Amino acid sequence: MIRVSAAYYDGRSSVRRAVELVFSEQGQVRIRGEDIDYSLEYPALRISCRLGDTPRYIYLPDGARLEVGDNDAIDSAIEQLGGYEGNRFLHLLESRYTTAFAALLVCLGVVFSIIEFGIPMLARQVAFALPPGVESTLGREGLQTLDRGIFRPTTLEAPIQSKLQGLFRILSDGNVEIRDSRLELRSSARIGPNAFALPSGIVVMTDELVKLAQNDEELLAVMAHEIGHVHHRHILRQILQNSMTALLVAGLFGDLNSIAGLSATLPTFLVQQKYTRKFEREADAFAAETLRARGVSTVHLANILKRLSKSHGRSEGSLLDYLSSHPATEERVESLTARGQRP
Amino acid sequence: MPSTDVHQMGPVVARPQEASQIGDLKRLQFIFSGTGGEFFRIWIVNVLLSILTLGIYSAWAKVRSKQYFYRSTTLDGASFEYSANPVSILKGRILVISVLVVYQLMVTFAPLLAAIMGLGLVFLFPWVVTQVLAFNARYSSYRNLRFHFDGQYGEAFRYYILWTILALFTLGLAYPYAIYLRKRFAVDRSRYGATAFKFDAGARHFYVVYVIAVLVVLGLFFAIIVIVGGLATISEVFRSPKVSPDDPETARFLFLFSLAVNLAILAVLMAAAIVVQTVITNYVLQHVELAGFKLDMRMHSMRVLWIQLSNIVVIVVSFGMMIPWARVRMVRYRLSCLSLLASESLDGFAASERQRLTATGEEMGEALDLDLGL
Repeated sequence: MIRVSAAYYDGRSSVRRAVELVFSEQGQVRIRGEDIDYSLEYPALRISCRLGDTPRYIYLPDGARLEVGDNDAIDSAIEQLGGYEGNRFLHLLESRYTTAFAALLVCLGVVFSIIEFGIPMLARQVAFALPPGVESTLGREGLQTLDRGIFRPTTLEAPIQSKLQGLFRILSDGNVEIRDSRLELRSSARIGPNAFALPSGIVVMTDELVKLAQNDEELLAVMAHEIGHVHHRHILRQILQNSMTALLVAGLFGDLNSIAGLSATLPTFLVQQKYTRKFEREADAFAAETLRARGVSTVHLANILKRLSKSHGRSEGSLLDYLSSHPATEERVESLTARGQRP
Repeated sequence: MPSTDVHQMGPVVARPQEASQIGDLKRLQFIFSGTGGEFFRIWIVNVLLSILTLGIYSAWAKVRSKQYFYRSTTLDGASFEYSANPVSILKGRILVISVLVVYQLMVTFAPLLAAIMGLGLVFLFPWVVTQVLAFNARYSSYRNLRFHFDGQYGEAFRYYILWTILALFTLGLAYPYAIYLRKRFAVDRSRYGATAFKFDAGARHFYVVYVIAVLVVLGLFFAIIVIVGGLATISEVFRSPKVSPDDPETARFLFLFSLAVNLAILAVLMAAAIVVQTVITNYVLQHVELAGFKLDMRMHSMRVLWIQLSNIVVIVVSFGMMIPWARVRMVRYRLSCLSLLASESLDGFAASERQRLTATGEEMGEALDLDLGL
């Protein structure tokens, strides 16, 4: 016999009636109050799932509802009379910090593996399966945007321009996959010496970078690095990976209708930086291989990297490095030098 | 209405701060008893099950966390109940995602069709607004009486589309009135059981709030300009004639500087949005009337600003782990500022016709029972 006091609301008005609820061992439930007294079978009741220590609702077949504050009494009635197994399981998980902590660990593990393996794999599949039209639209529009913003037409003399195009052809010729690739020269005081790869194989090089290079081998090395990005479809993959990460976090934490909720997606910035660093290493590896195939030492890539890093004034090995999109130059130079020494 | 003592019955014993007397009105305080720790455990289990079911459970998760907030809220010893069917929410989500995917595909492959579809979505928007308001009202109840919302498409179309266009053409002059109309629409078309809510405010206060907000924001922008100008006159980089913006060092400095200015502008706009929203919510909830009962909301906008901003910092630093704590903190503050002024007991409300006709109220067979609010 379990007795518990409850508030009775009939569903036709907001009148509250204090009642007593009695569960008998035989499965009879009696509801008794000032002008209420009736019995019904336990299975005719529907009892709401326990949710923390919030009030419990018991729905009666005629649309009336009981509100009960004493969760433990209702739980022991359910234990005695049966039913609601699924709901009890949920509460079991939610009621202890140990299970919550275990859930947290599993979540972190799953999210880590999705970010580490799932998203990169999926993005690679999608990037290579997309029709070329999509990529060339992205590349064309990207270059137009940059031209309106930070780029100015190149000021290099025509002979130097054609020499650079010639160097670029040395790298792209005989490589079927990157045949559509082309070199675009621009000047930009804003970003200084730099080179980019855009979708659909457009490689952009700034006049400032050309001036920074001490010999043609260094220019070849930079081009080979950018062609590495093209070869691996890095730009497209990066766009895909970043949107997938944002989508994942948004989906997980939900409730993005508030500013505070939205701020949960900010740390995804760190994940995006990590992806970018990985791509840089891949492009370096591609450059090293391409250069070696053409008899150019990887030392040249290491050299121009060192000079680039000096001209951008980046402090090596500082805390900021963790946030930077490129792996520490020192680390890249070391790895390239090691490659160069391999027979 | 029978006037029995408001606090004589019920399983949850009224705490002293729950009610106070003002003249012949009784102030009934909304009380939120949820805690960050309790909600964290519910939330993390929700996240886990959503991951393991590839997102399908997220609809159940939404209902469960919404139920936690509703049931933890009590007024006069009775709690609020949220009883939506997760399947409806799942259907709504699938519908919204499919529409977005189709739209994205059209943008890429058939821009003309996408434009037509975009226009169609504009006409659909007022319908979505009424659906969401109706869904949330229908599945919210208090003392076993459901809320209802029966705003119609035509009215929603006027307030959400026509008035927006009007606001654009009047350079924003019509905007405060549009906001006023939308709030009035949301309140006046709502019912608790069979009793209609009434919005007894005018549009004047909305203009006062927005005019002050615009003046303050302009003032802050002016302050930013003065600071930038001041820096420009004392700083070497700006003054020295030999450095030009073409120098990479100067270019980088200018870039960082403009980034800082942009962030300051963004911060001003965000803070202004939060304060305006708080002040408007206060005003609206001080002018909602329900058969002689009146709501009263008194949030301090600086307090809300502090809670929102510190929540953002805490969420970012904890990589999202403190989201449950932040949500509980915000809701607890809001509800601690909300009360109901009652002249008699809350026993006198009757159920709507619809709820009386269907025994449990569950199988009402709405034409389209979807929650489209993601």
